[in-house]
Amino acid sequence: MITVHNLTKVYGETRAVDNLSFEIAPGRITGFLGPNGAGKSTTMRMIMGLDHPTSGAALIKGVHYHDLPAPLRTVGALLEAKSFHPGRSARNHLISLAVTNGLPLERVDVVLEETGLTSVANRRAGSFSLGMGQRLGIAGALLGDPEILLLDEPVNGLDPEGILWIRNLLKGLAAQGRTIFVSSHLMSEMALTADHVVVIGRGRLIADTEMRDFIESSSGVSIRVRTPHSDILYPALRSAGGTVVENEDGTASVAGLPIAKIGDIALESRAALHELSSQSASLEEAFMTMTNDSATFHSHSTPAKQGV
Amino acid sequence: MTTATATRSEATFWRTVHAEWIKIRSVRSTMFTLLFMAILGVGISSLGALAVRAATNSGHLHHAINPVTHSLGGTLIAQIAIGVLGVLVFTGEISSGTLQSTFAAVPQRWKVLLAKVLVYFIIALIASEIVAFACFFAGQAIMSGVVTTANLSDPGVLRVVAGTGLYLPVIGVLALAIGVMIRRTAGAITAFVGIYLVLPLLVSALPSPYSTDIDKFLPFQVSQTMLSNVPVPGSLSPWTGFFVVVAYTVILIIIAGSLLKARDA
Repeated sequence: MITVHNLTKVYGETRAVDNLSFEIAPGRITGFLGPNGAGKSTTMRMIMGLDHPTSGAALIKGVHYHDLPAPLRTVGALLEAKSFHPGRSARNHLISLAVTNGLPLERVDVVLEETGLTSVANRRAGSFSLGMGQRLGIAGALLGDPEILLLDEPVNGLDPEGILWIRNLLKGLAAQGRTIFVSSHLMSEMALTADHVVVIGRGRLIADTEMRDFIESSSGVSIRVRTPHSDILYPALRSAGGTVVENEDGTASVAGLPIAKIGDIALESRAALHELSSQSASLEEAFMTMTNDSATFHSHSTPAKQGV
Repeated sequence: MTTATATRSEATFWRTVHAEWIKIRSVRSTMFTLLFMAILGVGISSLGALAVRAATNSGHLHHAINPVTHSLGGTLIAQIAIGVLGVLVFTGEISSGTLQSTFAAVPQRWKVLLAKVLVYFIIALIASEIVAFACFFAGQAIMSGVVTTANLSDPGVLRVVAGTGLYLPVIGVLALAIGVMIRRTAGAITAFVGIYLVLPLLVSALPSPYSTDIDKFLPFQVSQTMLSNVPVPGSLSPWTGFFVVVAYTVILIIIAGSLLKARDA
């Protein structure tokens, strides 16, 4: 259980994290979403006690990270791609960490095996590819067999194979009952792995909800409808409280109504439906709309609205 | 999954020391720098002794040579190497990102700093004593038969040789503290060299009574007295000077530790 309470971090005049409060429940994957620069890394570093909050607190099982008797046994973290010395072998890096918390040295071989690094364990970590470096970071996080895992953008810069590996690893770890808090700026990645989602923008909380509900409400933003009886259906949808935007290709995007309700209205008003779909692409769109106002850095060209 | 055996698994000071020992010996650059320091130190001492030998043989040596001080000349260069390595003990962790892993494992930053200081002090002490005695014996061997060489059993000689080996690691820890304060390798090395070599030059430019009064408290001048078995005029006595430098180092470690605790990692 991680509890973040009124957490605030101010750098000069920038409020990197602004009065953030949320709880991470055990035994599931919680996605931590937000555009680049939203304050995700800073929040995670404050949970780890690496950065000091300006005000507020971040607690792990009710105590500060600093007060955990053997931190590696409770929390495993992957904070940045590189958190090891390039001149040291993967094995020696892990041994030096294991020794601090009195972990049995067999754990080093176990995590090297789990992350597929056994054959390169004695090589200098500086010679590792980005993916191997990421695996070494994860090996360090798993070293103490912790019940809580914090991972900051673990798939960043990885090839598709590496992304798949991380995704399956996280699901496997969550299935073992561990608490997993994983950040990403990619909505699509989170939709595939997370059970719950915390969304922030400009350091502020935007959403804290079940992923299923988040997807449903986000998808509701734009449901694609194709009907030969638009003169009947569109007014009926509008009177039911929906927003109907007619597209150039003869379809309409309906917002503000759940997909089932649109189907029911079509039946009641005897309008034939040739198409009724919520689009997965709208998920990313919804995320962008939600966080756009709060994005610190974003390009001026807004992405073209996809009809499919 | 964790069944916390908290009593067995706490990140104690000695476990942190053990980890720091593994870290410092598992990076090749540590041993390379120490080896470089030894070769450079003994090499320069030997060259100095060879110069004395050549000058005496050709009849150009007109002033008396202190064979002890002369043979230890190379340790002045060794001080710079030991300082650079001291800086790197900490700044190397910052630039590689290792410090994050270190603090994740041991969140008590004072504990980490003191463990690093202890491990580095001991490694630097062993290396420095070896270099100091090697410089002394090499110098005496080269100069023997040409000038009156010194023996370890002569009055004050053991103090000078062993004391020089003890003084060097203190300078190394002082540099480590500068590394913690400045955080960046280049800046910290510049600051160390500045305090050590440039400051004495600036002080010597001051008007007469002030320059000598201040100069005797500077680490470089103290190192000169450590190197001599006869009193150096206008300087602190060797052990007084040594403890003044130890005091500087302790003060810098206290400042460094406070900054380390207060700052974001």
